[in-house]
Amino acid sequence: MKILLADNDADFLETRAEFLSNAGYQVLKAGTLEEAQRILAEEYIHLAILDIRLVDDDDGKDVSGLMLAQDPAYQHITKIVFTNFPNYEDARASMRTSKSGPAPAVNYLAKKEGPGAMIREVREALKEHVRINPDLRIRWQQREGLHSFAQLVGVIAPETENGELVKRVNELEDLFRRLFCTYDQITLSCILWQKQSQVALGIYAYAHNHEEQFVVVCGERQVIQTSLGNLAEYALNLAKTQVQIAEKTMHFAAMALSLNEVELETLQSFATFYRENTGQTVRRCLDVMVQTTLSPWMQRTQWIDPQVHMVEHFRERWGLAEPLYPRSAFDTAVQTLAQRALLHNIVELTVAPEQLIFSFPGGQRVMYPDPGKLLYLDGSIPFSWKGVCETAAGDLDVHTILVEPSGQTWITDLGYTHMMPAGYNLAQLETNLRFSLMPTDNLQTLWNFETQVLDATLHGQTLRIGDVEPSYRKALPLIQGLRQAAKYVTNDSVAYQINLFLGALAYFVPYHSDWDYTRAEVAHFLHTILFAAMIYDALDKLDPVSSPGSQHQHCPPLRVDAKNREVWVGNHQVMVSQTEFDLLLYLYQRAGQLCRREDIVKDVFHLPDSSAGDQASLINTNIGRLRKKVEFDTCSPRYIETVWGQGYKLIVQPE
Amino acid sequence: MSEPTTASFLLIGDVAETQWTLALKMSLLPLGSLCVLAEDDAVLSVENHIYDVIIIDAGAIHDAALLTRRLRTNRPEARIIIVTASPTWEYTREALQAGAADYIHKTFNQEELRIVVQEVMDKPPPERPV
Repeated sequence: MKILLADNDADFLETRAEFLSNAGYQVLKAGTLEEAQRILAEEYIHLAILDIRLVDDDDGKDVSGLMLAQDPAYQHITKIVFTNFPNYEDARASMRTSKSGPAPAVNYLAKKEGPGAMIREVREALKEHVRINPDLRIRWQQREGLHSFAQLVGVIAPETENGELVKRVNELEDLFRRLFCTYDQITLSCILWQKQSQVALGIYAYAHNHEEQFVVVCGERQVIQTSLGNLAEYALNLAKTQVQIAEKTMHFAAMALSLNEVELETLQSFATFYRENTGQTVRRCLDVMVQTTLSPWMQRTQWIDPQVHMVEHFRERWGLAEPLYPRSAFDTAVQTLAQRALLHNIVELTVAPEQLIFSFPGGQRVMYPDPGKLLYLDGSIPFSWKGVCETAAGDLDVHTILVEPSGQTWITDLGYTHMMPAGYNLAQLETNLRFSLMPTDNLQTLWNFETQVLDATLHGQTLRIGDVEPSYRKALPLIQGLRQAAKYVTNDSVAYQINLFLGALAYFVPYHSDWDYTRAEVAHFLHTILFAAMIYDALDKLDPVSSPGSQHQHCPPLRVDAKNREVWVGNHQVMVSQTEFDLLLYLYQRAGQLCRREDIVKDVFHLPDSSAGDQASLINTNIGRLRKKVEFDTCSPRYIETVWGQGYKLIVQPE
Repeated sequence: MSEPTTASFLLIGDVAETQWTLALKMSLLPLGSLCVLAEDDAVLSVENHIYDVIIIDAGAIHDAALLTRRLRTNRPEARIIIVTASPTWEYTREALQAGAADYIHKTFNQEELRIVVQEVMDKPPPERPV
């Protein structure tokens, strides 16, 4: 263990450092405040022991060491403060919890307590707060090339400079020794998946000969901590209990997920499962995923927040918003892609004003509106949904969803668990499937396939496997399965297509005008732009309200389904309480007619005439709640009209 | 319309009202309500009720640090302030290591008391192992 010992008394520093060395610790000495700061900032240490008066022992006001301990930049380092002048105020300041998190120090020692006490408290602090198990046996199974912490640092933090590499490797090893501090041994089996700044490992952990299996997601500290924060705020209890342990160090963090009764050795990513199995098997696996793994998330109460501009949120999320990705960059990218498409003889892409024209080698020519026009429209992309939201189970990715041979699936990348539009997960999965697994060697046949799928969607039809090219027969049932599931969740095909549109462009964003690409890479980027353009074209047909430039004056019809107790505004289901439903149904059954307040009180709320005050409050409150849920503008209600002094009237289809 | 939430405080000490407990009650009035219980009753109460802040009058308790550990066994997230007429640095260390969020000198200044309690409420609970 590495300990920083900081004291401006040179003799004391030397003496105590020797005691610590003899006790088996590696000691970094700092004789000045500046030296202590440098070591805290640059070195990887397990514990810091700081003298309070680091500048002038004779100055009663010198609390420089205490201030160093209180610095939020070193919050993650376990500290002990010590002093020749112990007093209540300094002890309190050192050890009470701070506003931003933990106390500056875990202990406060008087120098006069002697070196024995110091060693004892250091041992205690390391055991209770640092919690690194130095005796943990670490074994590498060396499956699929996983062989060392140095390799993992290379994956998680590839930009680490050579001079820092050894420290980072030691730090990462310590992280695992903390994560599994109560175990005797861990065996690191394989890398299950890796993406930016994160990696998921299969790990066997042993305590008293008892084996447990974990998927450990580790990575840059900020990334993992954000994941844990999102989980704590948004996730289902089921997902939260999957996270058994979590730990962090200065630069890294990790969480260990327990997958009940799963054999790690049999797990594979959905992408691998897709490639190695038949279409039928993969479709069955997807059904299981939607019905069991995703279903609990989708069945959570949905809510509507008309203030939420989800499209703006997505633009930010996927780096599609200005100034990060300005229109000029997008246009330049499309133009250079067109040049490369020609060079590789894939397609002739002509960029015309507000249009993209694709001329395939076979002679076919198609024209679509430029997706950049919709992406960069001033303000939010207009469309008629009302912000129906749910909690999404992270970012679904065919590489991070794990599958066991039975077809059971596990979501292991829960980092972006967040509030999202209903159906987001399914649209995202379709996008991921499309751009990760579908072949792109022939853009024309790809275009044929996408056209067939879009046409089927527009006409509410289902394609048969035999209707499409053989290359896409595995993807087709998955895409149709996801769209079917999305209909069940939201019945909002416009929102789903918007998700697909933005998702496609998110795959285009990594394209750099200045870099060279292989033919397959160029084809991949062409697919994203082509698909986005096709969706833009289809949106017009799906929901005329979403046409750019059109004024949003149209109110879709309101429908109350008494049998299923459902409320619909156009294609969007609205969630209402039982009382709200009863009130709305009453008005709906008398649509266009005046419903008097006293009749509503009697027939809906079953209140006696005498409770006038309660009546007013009850009606007003429930009408107000209903308006918030069905009206586009509660200040100008169009469905539930007030007839002043008398009651209310429901207009099913406002003009 | 929902009721505004008020905080719930517990003072563990002498149940007979003193000048100090009155000062404490007055200082906490804008924040919430104060319940005063003797040690054993308080331990039972904490098992069944969540208090926003628990205040221990060290002068009325045999061992405030030990009581803090005992309370945190059932409620690791409990925010505990120990109040004493004669603070020492040794007991400050012991109290805060036991998991108290703060250890303060007994004061009759209502403003000071309220500020300390508010600060503890605004902070995350101590991370010290129970």
